[in-house]
Amino acid sequence: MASITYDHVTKRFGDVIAVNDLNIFVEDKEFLVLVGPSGCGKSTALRLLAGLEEVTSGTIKIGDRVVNDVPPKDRDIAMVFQSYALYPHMSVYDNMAFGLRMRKMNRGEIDRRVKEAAQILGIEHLLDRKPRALSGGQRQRVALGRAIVREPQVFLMDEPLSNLDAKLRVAMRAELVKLHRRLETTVVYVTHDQVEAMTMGTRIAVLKDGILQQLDTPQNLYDHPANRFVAGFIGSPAMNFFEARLVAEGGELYVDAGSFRVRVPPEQAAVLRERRVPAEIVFGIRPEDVYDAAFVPGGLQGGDTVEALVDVVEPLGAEMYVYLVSGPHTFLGRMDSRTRVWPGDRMQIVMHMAHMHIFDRETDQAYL
Amino acid sequence: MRRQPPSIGLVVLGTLVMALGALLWYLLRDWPYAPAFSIISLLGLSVALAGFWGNRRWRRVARQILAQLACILILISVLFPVLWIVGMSMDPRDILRPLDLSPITNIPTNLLHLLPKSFALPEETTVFHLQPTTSEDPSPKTLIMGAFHALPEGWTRADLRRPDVWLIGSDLIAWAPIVPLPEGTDTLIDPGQVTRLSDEVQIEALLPLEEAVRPDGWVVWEGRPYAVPRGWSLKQVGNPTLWLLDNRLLSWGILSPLPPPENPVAPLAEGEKPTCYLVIKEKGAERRYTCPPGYRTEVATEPAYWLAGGTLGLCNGGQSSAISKDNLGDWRHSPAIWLVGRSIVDWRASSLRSFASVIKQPTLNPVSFPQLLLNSTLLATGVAFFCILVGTTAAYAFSRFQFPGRQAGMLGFVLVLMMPSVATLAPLYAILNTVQVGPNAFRAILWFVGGFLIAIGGILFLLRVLEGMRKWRRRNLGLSLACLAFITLWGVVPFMVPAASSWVAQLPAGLFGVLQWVLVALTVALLIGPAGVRGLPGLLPGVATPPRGQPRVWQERLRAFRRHFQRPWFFLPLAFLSLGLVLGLNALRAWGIGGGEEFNLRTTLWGVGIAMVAGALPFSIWNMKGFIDTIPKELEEAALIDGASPTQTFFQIMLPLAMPGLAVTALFGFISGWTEFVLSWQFLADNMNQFTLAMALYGMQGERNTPWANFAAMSILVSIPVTLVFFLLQKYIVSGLTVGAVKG
Repeated sequence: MASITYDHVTKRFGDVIAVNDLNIFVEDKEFLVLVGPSGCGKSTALRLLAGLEEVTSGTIKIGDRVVNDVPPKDRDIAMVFQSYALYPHMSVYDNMAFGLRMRKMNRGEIDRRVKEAAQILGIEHLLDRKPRALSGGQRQRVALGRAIVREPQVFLMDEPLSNLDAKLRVAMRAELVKLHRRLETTVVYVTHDQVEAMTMGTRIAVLKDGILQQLDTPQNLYDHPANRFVAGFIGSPAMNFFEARLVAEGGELYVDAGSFRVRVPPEQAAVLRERRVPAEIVFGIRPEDVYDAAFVPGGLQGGDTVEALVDVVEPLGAEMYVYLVSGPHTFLGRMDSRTRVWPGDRMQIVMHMAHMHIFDRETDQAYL
Repeated sequence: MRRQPPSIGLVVLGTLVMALGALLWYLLRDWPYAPAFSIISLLGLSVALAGFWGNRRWRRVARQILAQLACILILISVLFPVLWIVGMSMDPRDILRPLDLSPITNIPTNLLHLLPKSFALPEETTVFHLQPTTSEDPSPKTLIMGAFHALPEGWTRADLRRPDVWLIGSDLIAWAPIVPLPEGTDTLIDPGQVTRLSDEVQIEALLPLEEAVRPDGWVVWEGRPYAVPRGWSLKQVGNPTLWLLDNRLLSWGILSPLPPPENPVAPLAEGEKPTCYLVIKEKGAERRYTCPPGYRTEVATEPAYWLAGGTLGLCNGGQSSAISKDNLGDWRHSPAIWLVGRSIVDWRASSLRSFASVIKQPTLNPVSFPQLLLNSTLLATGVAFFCILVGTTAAYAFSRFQFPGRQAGMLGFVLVLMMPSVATLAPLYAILNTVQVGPNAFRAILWFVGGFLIAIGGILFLLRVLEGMRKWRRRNLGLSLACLAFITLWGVVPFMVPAASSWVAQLPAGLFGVLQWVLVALTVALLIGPAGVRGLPGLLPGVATPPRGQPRVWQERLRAFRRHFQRPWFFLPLAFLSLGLVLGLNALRAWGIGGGEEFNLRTTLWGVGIAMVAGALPFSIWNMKGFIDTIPKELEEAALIDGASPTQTFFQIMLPLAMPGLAVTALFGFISGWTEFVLSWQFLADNMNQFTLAMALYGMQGERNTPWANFAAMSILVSIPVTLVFFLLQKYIVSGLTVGAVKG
């Protein structure tokens, strides 16, 4: 069991900077998710930790040990690859036992560990098969099993679920979380899927272009994104952004988006004033905070209504995505399924302004 | 692995196979090679043992052995009778009909003509200009290419065997011995019959056979019988001897003994329809003859000589029967069927006599069949082995490492692939010919000591590398380039020589030697590389002594040195092979082996092998690279994380997955070594003990007379090992072994 430290880690491939001055501290037994769009350096960060790539500058520590020059096999880590990377010429048993055999463990112990891991993962009946005789989900389990038998200090997982079908992915997600709870090992998990990140991570590191954007718990990321990128990346559907102005009028503060104007609640207004927010800002509101005026929940009644034109309606059963147009802005509302609107209708909506976000236009940093 | 209860099926089948082997041995006990059937018994025994004690893996192998045996058995039991019947059904008259007694048209290619005119010669060579002369000239003269040439001043005919260079006009003839004229003869050698002779050759004159005389030994030459010289028997006629006939020098070994009992064939009367007849071509016209009394048609297929009228006809079975008008398109004349059929239909009856005959004496040369088989096997397996060894490691470097010159290197290989291999024949001949034993003891000692020191250095270096190999590095510049240097040495240089020699009027004799050493130095330099420059001084004794109070400096330096050597060691064989080859060859050249006997690398299987590997390498590397490219990199990364060293990863992950590619490469290497003929025919001509099966097969083709049954039997025997190798490897020559490694 060990903590992990990225200390000013930079990785260059020629002129390309894949990871730029990364600083992360992962607690022992933590489930850290590295998330970001493709090409953001998250896989590279993981491969640096695994020892498959060499660090250009900075240090990586596992526990108290600097591992920059330690070969992968001596880092006491196990990795699950996106493609599973099972050895096709070996049976499932041999696949799982390979790492232990390489470490010259005695046969009884190998057998015990493989059997135990197989039992945990429910693949005992597959031990004699070759990988090509397995389904995708089974291969995934074998790949996990190969990591588990090693009983490493750290698990590294590089998008392990992305090759599974949607239903299996949801099931495996829960299983991985259970497994983490059972094994009590530090896990570093790479994904581009923010749903996986939100559901599995104890903390999430959001990366973009090799730069760490924010490192926090899932709820904090959702509630208090540090910048416009994180705000747009975390949460589904993505947050709506409006180029707007802050207008003070009669002691009240308003967000003026041109085609509509909404009042900022007093608590938020106080914070904004205190932070000396400039007038030209980006206003952000999540689709789930956009309500049909007819089905406004209790606390929001009496708020400002905004009139908008319905563009597209996507009923999902439990809820309804409504694409709205207001002046130059298009935005999305995640509304109550009882809403009855058709494309072309004009509808009244209410925004939950207590959940609003304000970003700087230049730096994209969040003020609120 | 878990113990398994004995498998009854395997034990029973194994015992049956064992019994089959023993039975075959017993049935064919008179045959000298019958003990070979013990191999079948041993296979059966191992199958039975595996069935009784073996674990799962051994049983799988045992089942495969059984399956292979079954395949071969089915093949023999179904195909052989069919082909036997087909062979029996062949009409011997078809085989007999046309008789071709036309003169030689295809003069054997002589390597001498291939040599570039400006080629570098060995140091000891003296070059003489020979002037044409006439037969009337009383001074010493010799015959070259059918014309008389005066010998240089101070030379006698006895000197002519020395390997010297002769120039006629401005044409280079050879440095091979030139045939002196036998005493008292003024004969003209047929152009195209210029042949190098071995020392044992004796020249005997053949006397024309008189009409009434029927001596015990007589031979046929161009349709006329000749008596065997006094003191010679028929058997000896087959010896490699030079014969003089009508004042003409003939080559050796192609005179066929004539079977003694012959009866003249009587011309067929008008309208007569005999049960058997012969057709003999006389000066373009075909005439039919009855069979001699007591002969049946089957008998007539015997390659024999018949006297028809006053002319002697040569009836060799089926020389051109396959293209006679009547049976053109006959399915029985499709090559495979004809071959097997012909090997069985011998002249007296259907039998395996031709097989026995070629095994007993494959050619007129005194080389035994086992010797030929051994030579072929050594050559083929050697070529396959080195193709795999060098091909796989170099292909791995090309596939996995990034280094400058990678693209150019691969492009170079593809270009080399395009070149006809015959283009390298002459340069390879010359390169290998430079490696000969000389009598210089001082040089030998120098080489030996130098080679020894470098070998010791190499071992120490290897230990250092192994010691320091703690970490995996993807960039393996030095070693990859070292592979390139090795391949260049043997693969590309031969291509450069003809090109270079066409530009440079006189290629310096030492150029190749210099090039060798440049490449060796390059290999070593690249191996040591920047580490050698930076790390090595730290290891020198004087510098390395740790100053007092700083005991860790030495370790630090050692660590710095090691950091530069964290490379998988399996590329080292390449570099050391290259180093060892060049060193070893030069040491051999200087030192000599085999008790001072003349040694010439070119005339050994090693020489042919080196030339062949050089030619086969571009394909091997190209083929293996394509294969290794398809193996996902993640597998290696997974193995590295699982704790395997780069070496273990290579042997336990890469190699098993590359098996199909390896199998194909090995198969191609084996086949090319097995069927190789052009190189070995030119290189080994002086060394009969190194002849291969393919050469023997070619040697059976006479200029006028080919024993077709023996030839067919021989070609079947020659093709069997290749078939067996294919059977062995066919399991791997399937794609899709990597299915399941990764999704998709």
